[in-house]
Amino acid sequence: MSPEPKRILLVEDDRVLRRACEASLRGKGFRVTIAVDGQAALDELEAWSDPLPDLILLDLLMPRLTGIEVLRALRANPRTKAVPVLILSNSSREQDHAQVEQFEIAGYFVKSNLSLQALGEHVARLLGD
Amino acid sequence: MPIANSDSILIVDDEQLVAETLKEGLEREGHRCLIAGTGAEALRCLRSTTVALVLLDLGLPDMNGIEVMRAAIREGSDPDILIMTGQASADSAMEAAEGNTVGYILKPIELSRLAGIVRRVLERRRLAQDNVHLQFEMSQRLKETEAVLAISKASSSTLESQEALRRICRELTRLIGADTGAVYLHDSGSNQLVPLAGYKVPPELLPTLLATPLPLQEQGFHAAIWSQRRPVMSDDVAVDPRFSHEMFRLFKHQSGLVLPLIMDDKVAGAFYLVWWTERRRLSERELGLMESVAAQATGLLRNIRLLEQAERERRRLDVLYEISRRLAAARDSRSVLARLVDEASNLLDVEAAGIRLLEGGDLVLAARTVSAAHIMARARIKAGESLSGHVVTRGEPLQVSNLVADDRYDAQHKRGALEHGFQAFLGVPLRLHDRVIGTLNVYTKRCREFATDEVSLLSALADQAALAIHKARLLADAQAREREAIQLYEITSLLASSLDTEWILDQICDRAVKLLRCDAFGIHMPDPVRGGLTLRRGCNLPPELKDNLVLKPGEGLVGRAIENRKAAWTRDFRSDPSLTYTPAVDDLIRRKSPRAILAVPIIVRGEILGVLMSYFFEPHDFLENEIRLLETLADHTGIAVDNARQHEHERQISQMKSDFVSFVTHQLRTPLAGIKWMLELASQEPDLPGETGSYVQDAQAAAQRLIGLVNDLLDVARLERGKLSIALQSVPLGPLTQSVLEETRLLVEEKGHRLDTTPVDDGPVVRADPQLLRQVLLNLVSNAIKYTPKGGKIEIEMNGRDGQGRWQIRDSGLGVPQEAQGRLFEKFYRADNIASLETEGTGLGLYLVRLIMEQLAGRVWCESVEGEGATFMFTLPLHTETT
Repeated sequence: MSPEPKRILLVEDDRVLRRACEASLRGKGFRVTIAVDGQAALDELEAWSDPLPDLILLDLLMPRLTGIEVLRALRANPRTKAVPVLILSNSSREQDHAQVEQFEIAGYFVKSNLSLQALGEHVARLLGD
Repeated sequence: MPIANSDSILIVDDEQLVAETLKEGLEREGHRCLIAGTGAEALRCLRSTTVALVLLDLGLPDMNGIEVMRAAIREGSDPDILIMTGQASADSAMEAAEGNTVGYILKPIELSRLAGIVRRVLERRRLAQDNVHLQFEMSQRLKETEAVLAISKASSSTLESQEALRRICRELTRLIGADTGAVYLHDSGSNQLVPLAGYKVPPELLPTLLATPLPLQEQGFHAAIWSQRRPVMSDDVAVDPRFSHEMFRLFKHQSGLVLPLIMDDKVAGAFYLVWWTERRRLSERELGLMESVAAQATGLLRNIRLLEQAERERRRLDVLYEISRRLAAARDSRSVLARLVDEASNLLDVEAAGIRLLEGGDLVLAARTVSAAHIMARARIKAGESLSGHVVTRGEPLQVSNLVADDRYDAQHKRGALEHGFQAFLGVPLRLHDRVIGTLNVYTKRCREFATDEVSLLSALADQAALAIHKARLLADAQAREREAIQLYEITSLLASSLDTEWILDQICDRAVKLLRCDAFGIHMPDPVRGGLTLRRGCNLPPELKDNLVLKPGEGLVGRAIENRKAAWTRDFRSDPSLTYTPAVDDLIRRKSPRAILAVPIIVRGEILGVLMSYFFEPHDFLENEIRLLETLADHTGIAVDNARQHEHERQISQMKSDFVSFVTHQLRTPLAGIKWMLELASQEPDLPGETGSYVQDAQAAAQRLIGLVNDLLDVARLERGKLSIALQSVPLGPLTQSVLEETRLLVEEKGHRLDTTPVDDGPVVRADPQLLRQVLLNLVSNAIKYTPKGGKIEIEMNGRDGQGRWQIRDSGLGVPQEAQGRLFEKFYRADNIASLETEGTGLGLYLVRLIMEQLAGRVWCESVEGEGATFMFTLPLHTETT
């Protein structure tokens, strides 16, 4: 009997990336929920019926609310405080790392340097598959 | 010895025949003979004629021969007497033996016997007379010798000329037997002989004598007395035309002797000896004696004068030496000059002295004795003005022996001088390097001529003064330069520490007043908003100037400095008609601005950034030095402001670059990631038709290359800007190399290379940033794989020694041409020979490697022989526990 599929909230404003990522993760058996920007992500989580997602894949540079602001809100909220977050950024670590590092995160990847294959393996490892 | 005519023989005999016979006989012998026939006749003859010998007959008609003899003796005659008698008796012999009789002879007289007797008698008599004379002479000489000795003693026992002359006067008066004596000395000031001392002057005459000089130059008197250069004697002064001067009439006296003291053919003094009632005549011998005493006195005087001169010289030398010694130690000229004027007045025995120095076109008072306050009253006179001006203009000593008659003298000073009783002036120029720089003046209340040696003494002092001034100026100059240099250095180093224009202007403004020693300071800069030049910074300036002053182009000194592109200054802008201002500015600055202004433009690379301003509240002539200093400050200001501007410019460019990097990051990477991921998804689709699978694979490789290029570009941009954060830690080279080889394993296998790695456990442990070092290894390994033709050989070695970790990779590829090896690590450089190789490359890889190695304090280089492969190697500091 297969276990309950892990739930992932994918926060990404770029449609193509969102699509590729979603397709790849679904293909690997994860349940993927989409948020198109930071504010949408927080709204989604607000309306989320428990249990909360097992993992959030978070882009950094987004309209309305940036990834950093989302991260700060998540960590400030006791409810979402413990949800693991994997950062998928366009910047190398130097640019955003300093800001990101003040929060506990599950990982940091530069999207163009990451293959979907590697992402899948990483997520699976994180979620204990 | 011939018998002198004066030695006459008197023959007294009443017998005429006998007398004649005797006369004839004696005259044949050379004697002069007189005859007397009676006693009375004989006595008459004796009274009128000097007779040496009397041949006396006793039996005379009128009186006895003995009586004649007695009478003659009574009357004072003392001839020798030879008695002639016809009958010798005891009585007559006795009688003949008294008196002056030398014997008697019996008649008849044998002539030859008589002649013998006469000759003997006369000879004896002459001898006796010679003796007497000699004795007198001897005693006389003795007296003179004693007197001269006394004079010598008098003169040698003192070295003070007045005292010596006083004593000589006394001895001279005694020697010559005068009643009174006086001594006079020549006074160069009045050119008279002034009384010095008297001997045995009657008390009632003493005041007259001491108050009355002997005029030396008076015609007639001078000619008669002084021109002879020897003693002049008169035994009746009252009627002697040579003694016609009133001085000799002041007191009545019979005889007088003027005894001049001649030195260097000039009358240096005189004795005057007086006989009140005696008609005194001096024998040649006495005159000679007087002359020799005078000569002795003159010699003494000369010695004393020489000695005094030597003493004076010695004192002057002492003073000059002392002055020069003090000057050598003195650091400020003011105290030196003050001492110099004191010394000048002491040395020349004058009442006042002062120094004026040339400053610009003026003669400025530099020092003066307190007593000179009224005669050198004005602090500043024009260079040609007054006596000082005259000395400076002519460059020669100037003497004025009577200030009343001089019209060159400044009226105010002259009035002051005359009011305070000053009469004579001597000024000598101060010279430095053949240039007159001022004058040293002395003033005296006596009407006098300054002697040559006094002028040269003052000149020597002037030389000292000039040297002292020179030295003090040099020192002051050097100190000022040093002070300026230090302050400038402080300012420059301060300015160099910042790239903030406003801060730089603040610092300059804060320090300028101290540096420039001015009263106030300002910085004018263009203000496009207010449409003119405004006071950007001000120190000690009223705030109204900063708030309200807007200078139009060309306006005021600021405008002039900008227009001429060089320093401009005014002594007092209020009285400078060449400066024009708009009415509003004019009103403002007239009320608020300091009066003396110096403006220096700040010019950098031909562009005027602003104007530095130095102000004095009172009118002030800006010296070359002050201008030069402000110019230097303007240069430094310009450089600092320019640097700040450049920096600002660079900062803006840097910001743009940074923006560009962000842009690239986001705008390129997002679609690239999209392409990459979509292709990845596509490649996983099963049952792709035809060649589609391989198309997708190629597209994937191309995308990957583009991603790699973007990554490299970003890394380079960050490294170039120094924005890369570096986390130094210990990195074992072995595992890092293994990890990189793992990543590139597929590529090696694709090209069929054989790869050898030095068998190491961990390899050397270096100090580096592992991420960056990984990029280095990846680049070097990738290059070796790429640039080595298929089936090549690649060897990696590493070791650690001497504090250095060394890593190298050798390939069997094309190698790097000699000329390319140095440039290999430059940006976008690609060696020519790799064009032949079908391989992609951006020319960024090795540049990135170099940038990283520089950040890690390591070194990377390449060794190669073209066609025989290449070796790339780097060194890094080994990690130690302490680091």
